[in-house]
Amino acid sequence: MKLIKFIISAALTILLVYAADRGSGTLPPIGHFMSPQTGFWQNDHSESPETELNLSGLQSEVTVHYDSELIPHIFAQNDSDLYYAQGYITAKHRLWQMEFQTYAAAGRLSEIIGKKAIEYDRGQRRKGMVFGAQNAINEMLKDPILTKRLNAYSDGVNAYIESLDSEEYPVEYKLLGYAPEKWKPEKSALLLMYMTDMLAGRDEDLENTNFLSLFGRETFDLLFPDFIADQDPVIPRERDWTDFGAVERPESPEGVFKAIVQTTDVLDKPDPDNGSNNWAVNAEHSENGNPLLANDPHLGLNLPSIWYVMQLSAPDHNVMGATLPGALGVIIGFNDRIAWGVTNATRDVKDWYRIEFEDETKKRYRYGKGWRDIREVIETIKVKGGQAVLDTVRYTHYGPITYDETFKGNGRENLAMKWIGHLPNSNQNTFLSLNRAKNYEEYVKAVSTYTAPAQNFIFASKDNDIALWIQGKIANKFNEQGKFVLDGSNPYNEWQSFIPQEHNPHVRNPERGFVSSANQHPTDENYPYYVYDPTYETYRNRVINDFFRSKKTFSVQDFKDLHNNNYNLKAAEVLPTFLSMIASEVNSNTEGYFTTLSSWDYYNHTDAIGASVFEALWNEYYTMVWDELTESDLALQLPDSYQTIWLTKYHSNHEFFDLQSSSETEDAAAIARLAFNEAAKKLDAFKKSGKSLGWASYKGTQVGHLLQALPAFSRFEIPIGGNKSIVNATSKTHGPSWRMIVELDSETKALGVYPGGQSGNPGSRYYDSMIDTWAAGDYYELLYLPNSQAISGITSTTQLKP
Amino acid sequence: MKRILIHSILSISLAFLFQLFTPWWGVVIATAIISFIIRLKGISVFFTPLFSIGLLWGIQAYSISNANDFILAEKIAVLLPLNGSVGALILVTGLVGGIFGALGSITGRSLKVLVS
Repeated sequence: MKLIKFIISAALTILLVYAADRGSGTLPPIGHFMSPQTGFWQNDHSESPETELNLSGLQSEVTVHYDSELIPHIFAQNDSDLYYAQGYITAKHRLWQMEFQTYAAAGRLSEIIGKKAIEYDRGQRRKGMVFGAQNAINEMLKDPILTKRLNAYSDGVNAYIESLDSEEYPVEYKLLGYAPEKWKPEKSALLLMYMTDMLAGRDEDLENTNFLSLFGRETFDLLFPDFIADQDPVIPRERDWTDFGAVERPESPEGVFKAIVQTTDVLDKPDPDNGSNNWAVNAEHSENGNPLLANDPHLGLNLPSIWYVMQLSAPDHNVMGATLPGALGVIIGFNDRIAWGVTNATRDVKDWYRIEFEDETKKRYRYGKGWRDIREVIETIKVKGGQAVLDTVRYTHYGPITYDETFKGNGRENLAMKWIGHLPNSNQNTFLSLNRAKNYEEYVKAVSTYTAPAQNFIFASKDNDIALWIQGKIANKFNEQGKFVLDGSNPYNEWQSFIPQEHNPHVRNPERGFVSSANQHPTDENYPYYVYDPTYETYRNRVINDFFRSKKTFSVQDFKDLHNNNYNLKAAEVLPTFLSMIASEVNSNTEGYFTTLSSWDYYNHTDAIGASVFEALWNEYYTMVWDELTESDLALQLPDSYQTIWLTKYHSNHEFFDLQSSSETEDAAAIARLAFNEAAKKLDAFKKSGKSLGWASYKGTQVGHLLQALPAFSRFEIPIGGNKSIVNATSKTHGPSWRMIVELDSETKALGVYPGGQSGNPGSRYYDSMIDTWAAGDYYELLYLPNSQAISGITSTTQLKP
Repeated sequence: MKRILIHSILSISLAFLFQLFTPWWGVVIATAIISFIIRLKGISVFFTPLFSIGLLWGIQAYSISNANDFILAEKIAVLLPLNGSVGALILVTGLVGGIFGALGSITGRSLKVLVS
């Protein structure tokens, strides 16, 4: 009996300890997690940097000053030490995030969060994310200087990881019960792939093909035109392209070059609002007589923030700005001679080829008059708390067959992806060269080798040059090549060549005195190469350019005001039409909203109720107009706002306005009235919930933690105006992820802010410390130290010693 | 009563010491050892370490988090979910520590009974 008692109590204790140490399923390891000695309590602290750290991987001493926002200012005595310190310090503040993003890129999330991520992981593998990263790293490692830098960064990250005891791991590791693994240069490549996918991973070829098969050519061209009348392209229309001479462009093939494939299920796409604004004026157009440059990349609003601000200084350069945890150097920033920024220069750089196999073994596929061999890759997806999943991905010479009978598409056809993201590249080098560039020539040299994601690289220098290169490696396509699914057996459908780099659209010191971009069409119709993308922005660019045409000189305050400009051009272009359509049928339920809407000034300020009413009306209207498309079994994209408005104004009897669900025949006006009644109901319900109908409250902007917006680690109900298609592009979950203004005075001055904080630790006061400043439209003066001895504004210093 | 007090003081001290170099479950071993040495009667074998280790974890949690204005504690109290109550979170922390302390205690005691 005594023995049984002992055995039972001992066994029960061991069992429970084991369970509480490991966790199971979605349950965190409760004993480990709750323990004040090892668990989350250990993460309940804010950073107080050490005064001294010994790091054996360094060659010389490195000084790291921190300012009041925990921005590190790193002063190294050589290149290797600089990137070693960047790796170490970034990991110190952002380790979990930098690792998580590379897991996400590589399709390894199932390892961390279990079987619910398997389909996502399969998608990442089938997109060839690792294939692309591998091609990039192989290319990068051919360059001995870059190799040294990548290894130094990697060593720095690993030095930090190795210094950690498990109780010091970031809290997310404890929550999910795993540990950081060793960093490798490949992970930096994966992080860059993650960005490439976010910014150049979108295409609508399958949906276009579906649309064409359902509605025909004429309707497609009407709803999805390549150019629109109101376009104000990145490169001013004044630019004439005759200096290119006669360019070589492939002839459009005779007859059918398309593959008619109907697909029902496609991969999730990156957010179409991933985009940005940038602009610069030269000294003649600046009130202080100094060139000014601004940039604000619009991305998903996440915590920890996608950006991490740093100053990086070595004997040959001194650069500051926004870095991407996991990548080397500064991505958007300035030094003592120049400033630069980027916006996404979207272009259709991902195409789909229908593959025809020789037989069921799927070993060879038809190409021209013969057959080509398939390369099989067996992907092993490890799953937390479960069996590993194996997935066979077949590679053609185009790229991986993403869709086949086992994965999405239509469950039959094999579609191979050709994507610029897979090509060997040294894009990391572009940024490291920009960090060191001193003038226009060095800027051009830095960007000229850049491949993807194509960017509008904006530039200003103390020599009073302003410029913008639209740089990326872009296939020189025949007309409409890759707009629809292509027949992979016809060699003519290949990307036959690339647009010569020097023919990428660019502008230097234009007469108008400013350069700008906001993801709109790069050029006018006269640019001699084929340009296509389904997501060119049509509103922000016009507001920005109109502002710069409105007067002669501009101040830093003007730049701030423009970042925070809430003018809703879309509303201004459609609302008068809506009001006249609705006016005749306003009833007692909708009268109040009608009055609000009629007196609204088109500004999406935080307290504007008119903005909320417009948004509710627009959403209902847009959904009703395109009901044919959303209710279809096939995967389809909806026409954009601009084209919807255009159709409303000029083709108000188009059959798309007829509601599927009603027996009557509606036109645009009838839909507007129905939408308005529906919107009023939704607005009433929102009001009943006790919330204000002011725009910020109605929109409810949030910054969500990277783990599926875990509410505990996220911020909600942030009081900020703006919306998509507005220069202040803050929507519910998306917006300006970094705002920077640089004045190239004799000493470079800069302002910056982002919706997050420097620390990745949810337990730190620096986790989200900049959000309120960001929401208020304010900035921090960035402390750009001339050298390591300058210490005004510094709150603490860490000496890193070899 | 005196025995209970001595047991508590000793298990808190030993658990505190163990935690400096063992994993979190060092507290289980600590209470097992103390209950092996000091004989408690009846339900106090369970409840004494429940309170003493609970107290240890609660105080440690409070003092760490208090120094940082409970920034993370407030978030974890949303995550668990405890309605954002830091007090409840500290209570739960103490309860988890206490239960494992109690399990150790019972095992230590039953071993003592077995070998004596």
